[in-house]
Amino acid sequence: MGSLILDALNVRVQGQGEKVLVFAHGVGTDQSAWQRILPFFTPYYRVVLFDLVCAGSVNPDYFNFRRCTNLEAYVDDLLNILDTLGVDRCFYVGHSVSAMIGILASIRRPELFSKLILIGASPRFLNDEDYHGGFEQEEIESVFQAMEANYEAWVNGFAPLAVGADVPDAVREFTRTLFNMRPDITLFVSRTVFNSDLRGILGLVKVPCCIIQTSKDVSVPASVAEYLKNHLGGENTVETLRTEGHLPHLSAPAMLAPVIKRALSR
Amino acid sequence: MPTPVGVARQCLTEEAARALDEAVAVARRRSHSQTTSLHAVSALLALPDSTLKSACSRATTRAYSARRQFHVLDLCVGVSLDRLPSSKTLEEDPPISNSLMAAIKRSQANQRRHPDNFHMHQIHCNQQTASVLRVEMKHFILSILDDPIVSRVFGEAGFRSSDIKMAIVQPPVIQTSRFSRAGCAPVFLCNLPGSNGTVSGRPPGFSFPFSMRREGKGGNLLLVGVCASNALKGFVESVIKDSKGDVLPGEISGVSVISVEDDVIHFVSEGGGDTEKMGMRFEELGQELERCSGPGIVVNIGDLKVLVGDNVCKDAVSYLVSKLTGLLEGFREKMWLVGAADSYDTYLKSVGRFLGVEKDWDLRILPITSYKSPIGGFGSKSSLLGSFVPFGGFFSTPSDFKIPPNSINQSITRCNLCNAKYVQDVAATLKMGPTISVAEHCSDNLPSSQMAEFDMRKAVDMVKTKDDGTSLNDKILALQNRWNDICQRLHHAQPFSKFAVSQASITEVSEVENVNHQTKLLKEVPRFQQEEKESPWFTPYPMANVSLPTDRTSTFSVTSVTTDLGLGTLYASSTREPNTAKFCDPREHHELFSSPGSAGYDDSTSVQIAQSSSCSGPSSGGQFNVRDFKSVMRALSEQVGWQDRATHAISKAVSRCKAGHGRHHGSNSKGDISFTFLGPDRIGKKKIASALAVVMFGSIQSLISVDLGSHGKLNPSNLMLESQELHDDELGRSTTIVDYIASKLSKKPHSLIFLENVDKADPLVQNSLSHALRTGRFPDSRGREVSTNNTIFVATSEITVGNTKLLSEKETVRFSEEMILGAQSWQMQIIAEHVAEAATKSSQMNVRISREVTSSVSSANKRKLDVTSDCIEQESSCESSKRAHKVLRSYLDLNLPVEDTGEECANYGDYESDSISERTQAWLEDFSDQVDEKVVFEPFDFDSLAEKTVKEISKQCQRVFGSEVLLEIDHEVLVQILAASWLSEKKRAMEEWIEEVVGRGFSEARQKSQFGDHCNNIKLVTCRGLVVREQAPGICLPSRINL
Repeated sequence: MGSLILDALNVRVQGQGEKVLVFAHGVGTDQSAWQRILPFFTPYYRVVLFDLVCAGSVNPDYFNFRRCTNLEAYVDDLLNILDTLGVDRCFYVGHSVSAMIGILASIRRPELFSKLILIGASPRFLNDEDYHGGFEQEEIESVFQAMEANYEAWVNGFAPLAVGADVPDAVREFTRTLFNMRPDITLFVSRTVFNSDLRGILGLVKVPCCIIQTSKDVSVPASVAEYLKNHLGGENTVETLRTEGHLPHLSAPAMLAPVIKRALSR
Repeated sequence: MPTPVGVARQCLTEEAARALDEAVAVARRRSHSQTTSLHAVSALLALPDSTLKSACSRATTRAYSARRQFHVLDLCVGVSLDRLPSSKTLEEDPPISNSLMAAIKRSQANQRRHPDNFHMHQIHCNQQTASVLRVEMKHFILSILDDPIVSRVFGEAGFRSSDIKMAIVQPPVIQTSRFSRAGCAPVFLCNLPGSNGTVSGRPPGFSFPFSMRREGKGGNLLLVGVCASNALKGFVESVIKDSKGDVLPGEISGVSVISVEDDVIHFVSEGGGDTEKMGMRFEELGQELERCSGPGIVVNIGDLKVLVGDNVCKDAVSYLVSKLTGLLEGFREKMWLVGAADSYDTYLKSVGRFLGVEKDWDLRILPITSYKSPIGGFGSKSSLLGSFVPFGGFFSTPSDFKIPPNSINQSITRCNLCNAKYVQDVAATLKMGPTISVAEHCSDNLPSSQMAEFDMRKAVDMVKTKDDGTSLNDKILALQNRWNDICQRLHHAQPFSKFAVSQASITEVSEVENVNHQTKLLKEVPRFQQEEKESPWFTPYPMANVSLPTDRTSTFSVTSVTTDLGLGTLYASSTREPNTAKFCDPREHHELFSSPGSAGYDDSTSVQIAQSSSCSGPSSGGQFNVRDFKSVMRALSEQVGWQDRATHAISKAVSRCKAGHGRHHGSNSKGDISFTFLGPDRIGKKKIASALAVVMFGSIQSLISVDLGSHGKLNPSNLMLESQELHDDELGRSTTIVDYIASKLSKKPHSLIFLENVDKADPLVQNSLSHALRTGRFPDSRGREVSTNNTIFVATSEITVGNTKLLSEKETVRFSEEMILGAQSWQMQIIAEHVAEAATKSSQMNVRISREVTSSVSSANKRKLDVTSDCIEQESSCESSKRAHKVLRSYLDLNLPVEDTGEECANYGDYESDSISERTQAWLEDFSDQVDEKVVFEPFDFDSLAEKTVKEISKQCQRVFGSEVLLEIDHEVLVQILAASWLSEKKRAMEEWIEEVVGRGFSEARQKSQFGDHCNNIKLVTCRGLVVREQAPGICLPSRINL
């Protein structure tokens, strides 16, 4: 099965170095999102890139609506990839949903991860009694409805919002990758993500984490980073980037890369 | 013997019967003697809003437009119908053919086994007599599609009936194609969770790892997560509902759930008052366990938070725990505990409270992440969810939760069953070898020889086309391996794709030497039948997936598969897949190990080769006016008087390059010149670069300056040098430096690129630069190249490279460059005081430079700078006092946010690891060797400038206050003045400023001072935090001094 998963998810291994560094992208992007910060790491790490099965760059036929109803499926994929590559220990950089995936994967296989770097991570996007996730159920419903009604319009509106900072290049890039996704998959994955709730299990994570948060993120309020820091079971640090948006690796790669680098070396 | 239409109609629901009538009408129109499945298909396709048609549209390959494919389908159906013999007699409806009747019977059986849902089935049974089960449209279509003639027709039209079936089983995503981009709706190529072997059965919610018990560890399950208790409830419900016992995995089917949850809640909250009752319950439990003959009993203890709540009776809980532990020990083989905890904390609490529980209970924690919205309307609000998500119910309402575990478990059962049933088969397959079996299947599955021929032709064509241009590969072995894999895959997929089968069969016949051709051919196959891409790694059991139920119930199931097998239909071979999946494995692993590594290395080496090979360019020598060495020299030294040696070297290099002699290495003599400016004197370098830009290109506008060291620095400070720099918004936020430079270059090829701190450049920039030097083309981050002919590159670095002469050997400098670079531009202030005891004894002018820091900041280490990079500087700054350190920090930015000063300083050196700086060093050396000229700068002599400054100031002071005063000049002020004069473009700017501004300041101070003539202590200090409001012309110092 091994080579098939590598093919299907476009797994690429780049760079020289002893240590393995895995970059996992979030919903709406694909591995190309890391392109701009990659050169900072390829000289020093063996960098593993892959696409989530929901990414636009993956043949949509691989996306199984029944399998991917929760994040465990993605975790399976990730662990499969790592096993297939023979990786026995790695650093993991995950953005957004991939941060969640990383958290789950590290619960299942703690020995596999030496550090998690979580960019724009959130254990739960919806608000709860004593938790501020940033979204109300109704808002989400309306977002979903908007997606359903006119995907194109939604993408064009959402991309600049998510990117936050006024960086046309990043917006264009994000729009492109969003469009690459089949709308029904986007919607489905979004639902999956919004239905996930990792709060209860954060304590099970024993791997040290570095939470990277931008100063303003439409999807993740700043309090969430603190929440993660306090509830994750390992040693955690929070880094705040002085930029805006949910996709710092697109909008401010030069700012993000050194922070990741630093987190890796600690 | 054909069946009369009336009889057949009785077996169908109204909708289906209408369709049958249409079919009969079609047969009649064509005056055929019987109504066959083909007629039915034709009728079904013609129906308005036909299910079949919409299913087809969802199953189309993307290779062709759906419309065209439909057209083809219509034609194919038409042609096939034309082939049927027509009869003369037309008095009555053509009766139903045996094949169509068989299909109806099949669907009837199918439906009976798998009612859409249980209750419906009950009602069904009650209302009707059991004998007449009316077939619904969906099942009707499904079984018609099973008909070999029909699937052949679909195959000819480029559809595969298996796909269409899946599309029918799955409700459409959206009825109207609102997503124009979607092309086609999801083809539900499903797979079983965990089918890839590593994780066994992980259904949407959670899997019940029953097998764990067999392995002896952690069989008791604790679901952890905010929605864990929901998941638990759902699981329990589903098991209870499933009284038939066919939803759970085979090995534990028939397991029952006993929920003691309510008893526990009751018991605990009552405060242990009812120990007896609880004891009874446990006894009951024990008896039940004893009686239990099945695989075992799952004991649900519910939410753990009940046990750790505040107002629970501890005795009661510990009683409970001990009882449960006892039970577990007694019935280790038969009993599983299941519990839930809303968070890890709860779990920890309970474990903490009852030591040993974790071990005794042998709990295995299962994280539950999916959230089931408590709002039932989640699904109903959205028109999509119901149909869109097969398991829509899964996360919408708890009551729907029953479905997923059911279905998953079902599938697990099937696997087991398959395994059991087809172990034989595998053995046979293994023995026979893939090729033979392919052939076998081929003959089995191609009912019409015509069809086979057609395929043959096609395949042969493909082989031919692949033939030319492909040379025999020496890697035949590896390819053979590959081929085997592919072949196997195809073989197992073959019931779904005739093309694949036929092609595989061809390859089987062909010769060994052709292996590589075949491989090519086989690789073509997936493209050929796109929908066939059943993602083998995801879906080792594609057919099993077909039979996976939707949010309704399964149409096919264990039994259906087996019976189908009995009938010898296409399903038979599909069930073999699990086994093959297994035996394929090791080989693929092997392949995998070899590929990624080698591929990676290949890539990098080939890139290098490509780069080095492209290293020759046409020579275009003297398109520039050869500049007079002297004029360049003059222009440069006019700007920077103190760097004689450097200016000389630069001018020489410029004239040499422009004279067409090109660089002293490399064969290309393009118009580009490159320098590295090494050593200290940052401002000097910058000034020389600007001067060079003016001399060479006529305008300061052609200077493109990028500070690679400061890039990524986060907060702007009040540094004087910062304020000097043009801050291009474009840079720093949006684009990478490489892109920035490339975009500038493409806009303005005649320019001087001034790259400061090139040693701190990120690897991307370094690569691009090296590339540009070698090839004369500067690649941006996406690999697009911009020509660098006519461009001058100036890269600066603090580090001197190689054996170039050490910078200033001399000793302790009072004002180091770092210090000056750290100068901040604050407003200045004169304070005139009268200090009694300071009544000067000496008649000499006293000047004191006050400072909080000891003076020898980091200079001692300075000479080491060329040896190592920043670490040493870092150390030195650590040694120095805090303030100085801070000043240094702001300069010593290694892509570090400035706020990270302080204690981090110490370990800073550690984590910017050696290897990195070594690498940079190596690169810099390499880079310096490639440039046209390496220019080493000397340190700027701040000390003498400081002396001069102090002298000037005291002169002013003396002029105003007389010689009897003590002039105290703040160190920061001095640094600021030094920095300003270093920066200023004008000669004598500093002297002028002192004369004008300081002088005026002194006299104003004297007038205002309350001590009048008696003030004997004059202080010139900075107002920290007060930014200069107005700058004096020509120098960036305040235009007036506060009092």
